[in-house]
Formats: sequence, C-alpha cells, structure tokens
Amino acid sequence: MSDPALLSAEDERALTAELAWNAVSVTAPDELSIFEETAADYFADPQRSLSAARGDEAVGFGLELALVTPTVLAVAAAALHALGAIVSDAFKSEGQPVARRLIRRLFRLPDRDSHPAESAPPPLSVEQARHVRSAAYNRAVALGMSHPEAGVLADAIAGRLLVA
Amino acid sequence: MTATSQPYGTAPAVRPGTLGLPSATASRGVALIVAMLTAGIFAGQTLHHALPVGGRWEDRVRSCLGAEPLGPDLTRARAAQACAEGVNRILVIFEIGGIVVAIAGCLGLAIVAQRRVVRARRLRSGNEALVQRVWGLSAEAGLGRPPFVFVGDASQRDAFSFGLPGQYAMALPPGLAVRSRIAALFDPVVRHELAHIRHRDVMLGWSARAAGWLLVPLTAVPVVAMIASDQLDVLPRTLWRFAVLLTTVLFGAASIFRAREFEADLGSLRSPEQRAALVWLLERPARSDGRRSHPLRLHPSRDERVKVVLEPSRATQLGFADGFGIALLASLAMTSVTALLSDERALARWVLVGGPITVGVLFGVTMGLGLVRDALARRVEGRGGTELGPLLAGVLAGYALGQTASLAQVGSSSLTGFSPWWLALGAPIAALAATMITAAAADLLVDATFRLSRAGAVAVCLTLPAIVFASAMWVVQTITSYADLGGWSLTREALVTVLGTRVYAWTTVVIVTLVLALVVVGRGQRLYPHPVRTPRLAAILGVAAAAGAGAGATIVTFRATHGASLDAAESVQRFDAYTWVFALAGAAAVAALAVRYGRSGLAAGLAAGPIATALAECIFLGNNTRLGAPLTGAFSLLVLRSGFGLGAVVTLSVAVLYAAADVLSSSRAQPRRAVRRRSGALSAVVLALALSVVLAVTAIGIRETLSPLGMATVAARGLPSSGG
Repeated sequence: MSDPALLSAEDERALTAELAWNAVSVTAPDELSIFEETAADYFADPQRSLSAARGDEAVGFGLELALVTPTVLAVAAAALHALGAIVSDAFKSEGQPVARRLIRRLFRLPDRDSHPAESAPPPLSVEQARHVRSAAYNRAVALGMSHPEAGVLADAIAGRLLVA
Repeated sequence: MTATSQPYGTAPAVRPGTLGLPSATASRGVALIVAMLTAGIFAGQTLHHALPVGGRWEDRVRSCLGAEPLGPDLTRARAAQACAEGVNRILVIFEIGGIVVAIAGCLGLAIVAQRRVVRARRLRSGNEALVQRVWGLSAEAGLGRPPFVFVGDASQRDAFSFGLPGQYAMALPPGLAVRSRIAALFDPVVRHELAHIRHRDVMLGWSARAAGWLLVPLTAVPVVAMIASDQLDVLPRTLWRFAVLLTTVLFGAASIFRAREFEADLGSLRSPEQRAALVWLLERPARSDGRRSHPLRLHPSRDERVKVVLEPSRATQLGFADGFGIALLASLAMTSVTALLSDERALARWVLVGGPITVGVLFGVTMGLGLVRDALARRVEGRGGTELGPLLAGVLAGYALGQTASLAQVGSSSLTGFSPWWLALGAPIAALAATMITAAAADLLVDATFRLSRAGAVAVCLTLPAIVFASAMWVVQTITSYADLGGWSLTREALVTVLGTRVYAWTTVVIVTLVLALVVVGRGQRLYPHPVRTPRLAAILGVAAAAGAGAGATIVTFRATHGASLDAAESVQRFDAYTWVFALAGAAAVAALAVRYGRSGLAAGLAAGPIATALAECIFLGNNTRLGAPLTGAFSLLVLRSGFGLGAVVTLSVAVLYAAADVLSSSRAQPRRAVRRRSGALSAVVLALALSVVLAVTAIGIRETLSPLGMATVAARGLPSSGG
C-alpha cells in the first residue's frame, strides 16, 4: 500500500489473495487446487515466483508453462496499491479494520465482519476506477501477458469497482 | 529406416523415420569427449613441465637429442626416443592422469549436479493422480521402468528430466502439473521428456553441461602452472588455444542439446494425432518465453521445431556448424593422440596410424552416420542430394583452425605449427576430400541399407566412412612428415615408396569389397523415388578395365618404343614413373565415373580406382615377364601394392576437384541432365580410357621431374637429365 497505515501487512496479503482467488477462478480455474501453496510461495518471495528459475533447461521441453497465479497475485497487489493511493486520505481517519472493510466493499468482496450501521464507502468515480484498472493492466503486461490476456485479468480484478 | 504413409498438414506424403539409425547427436557426444581428452592431456602435460620432474625431463631430452640429432633418417629419431624412454614414460603418466581427471570429473560433476537437483530446485513428489498419468504415458512409450515424478515450485516454467540410468526422474512445472487432465497440453510435453529418457539423453545432456564447467579448472591448471614456473612466454600461445577449445565445447554442447530436442520431438510421436497435438502446442501463443535466438541456446526455436516435426529430414541436414565443430575436434584429437603416442616408446610404432585411426573413428561415427541419415531421409522424401557447400566449408575451416589451435602445437614457434606454413593446408584439404567422398558414398549406402538389417546397415555406415577418413589422414600425415623432414625431394620419393605399405594395400581391398558389395546389394532397389544416378556393377568394372588397360597399354608401348633401361638408376626412375601411371589409372576411373554419374559415381570410384590400378600393375608385370624378367612373389606383391597409396592421393585430389564443381553447380541450381544409363556407362568407359592414356603419357613424359636421375648418373652417361 502506498500508505502503510491504511492496512496492516496481513490484511493487505489477505485482500490481495482474495482478489487473486476471484480472478484465478475466472482466468485459470485449474490452478485453484494449488492456489494456497502458490500464494504462500509468492508472499514469501514474490520475485522468485514471478521469474523463471532457469532460462533454458537441459533435457527440457523448451516451452514456458508457467502458473498464472503468481502473475494474478502481482496484478491484484498492483490494483490494491492503486486503490489505496486513491482512498487513503478518505479512509485513514477510520482506522485499519474499517478501512479494510471499506476496501472490501469497494471491490464487492463478501465481508462477514461488516457492521450494518457502517456507512457505505463513497463510490469511486469512473476516472478513479479506470486508474485502478489501468494499474492492473500495465502490471500484467509488464509481467509478460499479452494485451488481451492482460485486459481480461484487469477486468477480473478491477472491474468490480465499476459495478453499481 | 522406417516410414509411415499418413500425411499431416504440409508434411511430405511419406515420412522418414529419421531415428532409424543411431543418432548423430550421440556421436557428437563422442566428439565432446574427445575435446575433454585433449584438454586433459594438455593439462597433465603442462603440469608435468611446470614441476621439477619436468626440468629433469627437459635435461634428459636435450642430452638425448644432442647425442642423436634428428634428421631425415628416422632411425636416429628412434634412438633418441629410446634414450629418453624413462622420462617420457613419466610424462605419459601425467598425460593419462589428465585424461582420467577430465573424464571422471565430467561424469562426477554430472552425477553430483543431478543428485542436488531435488533440493536445489525445491522439487516435491507429484500426487498420485499425476504420477499415474505420467506412468500411463510411460507405458505407452514403451519404457520398462517409469520415471519418478516431481513438481517444482512456481519459478519452474519448463519440464525437464534428470537422474542416473535406471533411476530417471521427471520434474514438471506446477503450471503443467495442475493441467494433467488437459491431454492436449500435458501429453506432448510428457511424451517429449519420456523420449529424452528413452534415448538416454539425460546423462549425455548433463555431462555436456558438466564438460563446460570442468573446462574452466582444466584450463586453470596449466595457466597457474605456467605462471608458477615462469613460462610466461608460452602463456599467450596457450591461452588462445584454450579459448578456442572452450568455445568449441560450449558451442558443441549447445548444438548437441538443440539436435537432441529435435530428436526427442520426433521420437515422441507415434501417430498423426500426436503430431498434431505437438504442433498445436508449439504454435500456441505463449507469454514471452525469454528465449532469444543465439548460438548457445539449448533449445531450437518453436518455428524450427514445427518445421522439423512436419519435415523430419530438416533435422538430419548437416551444415557449416556441424562440419566446423566435428573437424575442429577431430584435428585437436589427431595432434594430441599423435603427441601422446610419440611420447611413449612402446606406443611409438603406432604414432603414424594412431592419429588417423582416431580421426577416422571420430568422423565415421559423426559425419559418416550423419550424411547417411540425411541421404536416407532425402531419399524417402523424394528429394535430391543435400547441398554440401556449407558442410565442406565448415570441415575445411574447422580442421585448419583445429590443427593450428591444437594444444600439442603450443611449443611450435610458427602460428600454424607447420614449417613451411603451407604444409598446414594438407590435412584440412584431405578432410574436405574425405567428406566429399563420404557424402558421395551415402548415396550408395542408401540403396543397400534398405536391404540390410539395422545392425548391418549401421556397421557399414560406420565402417566405410571411418576407413575413408583414416586413410585420407594417414596419407596426408605421411606426406606432411616427409615434406617437413626433406622437402619435395624426400616427398616425391615417399609418394612412390612409403605409401605402398602392406597394411594400406589390405585397407584398399576392404574398401573395394565394401563398395562393390553395396552396389550389388542395393541393385534394383526402387522403394522410393530415385533422383540420383547410380552406376551398375558392369559399368564400374567396365570403367576400371578401360582405365587399367589404357594405362597398361601406355607402359607397354613406351617399353616397346624406348627399349630397356640403360642402368639400374633408370630402372628405378621408370618404375617410379610407372607407379604414378598405376595410380593415375585409378584417378582416371574415379574421374570418369564422377563425371558421368555424379556423387554416386565418385563413390563407385573407390572400387573402380584400385581395380584399374591393379589391372595396370598386372599388365606391367605380364609385359615385364614376357620380356624375360623373373616373376617372383616378392616383386609381384611390391608392384601390386605400389600404386594403391599414391592412388589414394590422386583419388583425394579428384574428390577435391569434384567438391569444387559440386558446390559451383549447386549454387547455379541447374537441373541435372537426365542421362540414359547405357549411353552413360559407355561414355564413362570411353572417358576413362582416354583420361588414363593422357595421364599415363604425361606421367612418363615428366618422369625426370617425378623421380630425377642422380646428377652423377647423368654425368656418367652423358645424357641430358630430361632424356627419355
């Protein structure tokens, strides 16, 4: 997060993982069976998960058959950071638990801890939502995804921000 | 060689089973081992010279050479060698120690690296469902023992195989493991890895990698030893040679990997459906795989792989890099083996044949098999002969660089290691000629291999090229040695005396028998389109008879018109000239067949040439006996074998000329003229007869140049030196 006070590291990871889970369930459902261990590896060492261990394996097949999950986690983290930068001023005064719940509501994520009396977060403008999507899209392309794939993934993660 | 008749996509209607013969890449592994041997010999040698024992060796060799200075008389060299036997034996022990360290180190590194793979790459055992999927495909592929199955972490992108023989394992990337139920994605990858295991690529691949790692310390030993013993003047000469060796090993290892990938692709396919699945996977859009094209990459590009899957003969074609790498390593090996043998008195008698045999075996299992595989694939696909220009250029350049860069030449003061420098051209040109002849012989071998068992076909494909290369290298090494010792005057004597050995005569008999057997066995073989013209047995024998008869008749005519020799010196001169005539009769037969039948004619000349030579020799013997000279067994054998060695020299020369013509005609891309078989055979016979007469008259006419009478003899007789 751009502002470390907005969410705890644990909350940030949980939110990233949840956003990624939703996106993986759309883009690569086969990988859900190993999502937890892949996410654990990613959070332990994001760079290792995102880069190939060897460029060219001896006695290998010769094609990259990478998991999508680490990329989705990285894209989700980018979207979360972009959103954090936008709403940090508005949510900082509310405290971390409330900020977490509000961000979850912006992403339309289910929240068992939500308080009925809690006011709804101010809706994002179309411009702000596009900014978050754009951050996710750019990160996906930077990680080697094709433009159409990056678009699908960015929509899977940030598209919920635009749902009324 | 097998073929399937079901086409796929743009593939040819008939697919050659290019894996029917032993893989040319396995033989490149042999070349890699030779490079390691060379480095090992040199490391041991340099270490020896840098230690006190090296100082004692130098003192002893100096004193021995002082007592028995080297000269044209080879017995002096043997005496000097006997004198230094004790210190040379210690040197040989160091050299053999270097070899053992190089080979054992290479294997050891490969084993250690593989044992560490599971922990270093964080591999986990695959789950039951995954293991069963892999084992099912393993059973389909015919593997007796299925591999262990591991899954890597998220950083593993590609599948790979590892493990020791009998305990192979496959590491799958998690991105593939989770999709094990998607057969279109999962099966081609696993089948490809199973093909690697079945073809025993795993140890070869890891050893090739280890060779690159081991060369660095092997290079460091001599360099440190030279610096420590203050031999700085030798250091630059050593360093650039090691750089060449290291570069060759790295590029050679990479080319082994790439060729292995093609073969694993082809070996993994058992049906058009499997082929379609692999092509789909290779053509599938993928995230940036970061594999830029460069000579050290281990995998070919997807595009290259798809082309080979659709058209397997693309994988069999030999180009510049193949010729360059094999020739370079062969020349490195030849000089190192020769140096090793000459250091040990017990081995010294093998010094003239050890190097050529090494080169012959090396070329036979690499170039020989490779060219036959290519010819087979092209025949099955109905395509013409391969374009040889790049391969021949590679052989020429690789051999030239290899003998110059040989670590055995470090002590030489000249850049090429030869004095005069042009002697360095002999071996590369001979290697080029032998390659041309082997490529030509591949066309003959193709017909025969369809009728032979696999073992028989492999044996012939290995034997004939190996003998051709070994003979070429022996001939050129012998000539070069004499030219080095005594210039042209000693060389011209060696050409007509030293080359006519009993061993080489028997070698010629083996070559002739093999070639004739190939022609007979392959007769009438028309399973596949036959774009090349192949001479029949009758044509070969007819051309040989014409050439031999023309040369023999010229000798008989000369003797009838010029009378008997005036003295023993002239007898010797005439016999030397006749030896040239015998050899040139062979050359005439080879040239005539090559002109009329192209490459297969050149190959058939391997039989026709010696037969023509032998016939001319027999005519000479008959005429000599008719004129009253006694016919003894010893003299007959001397005459019969006299022309074969020189015949090999002129045959190689014809092959060089043919290679130039072949490359030029390929570059012009002119369609080959269709020649009617009968008129082709007749014109070849007439051409052989005419050529042999012209060459024989020329040889006899210039006999004073080929074998001058001694000045004293000339003065005593009062005859001009060019008198007939």
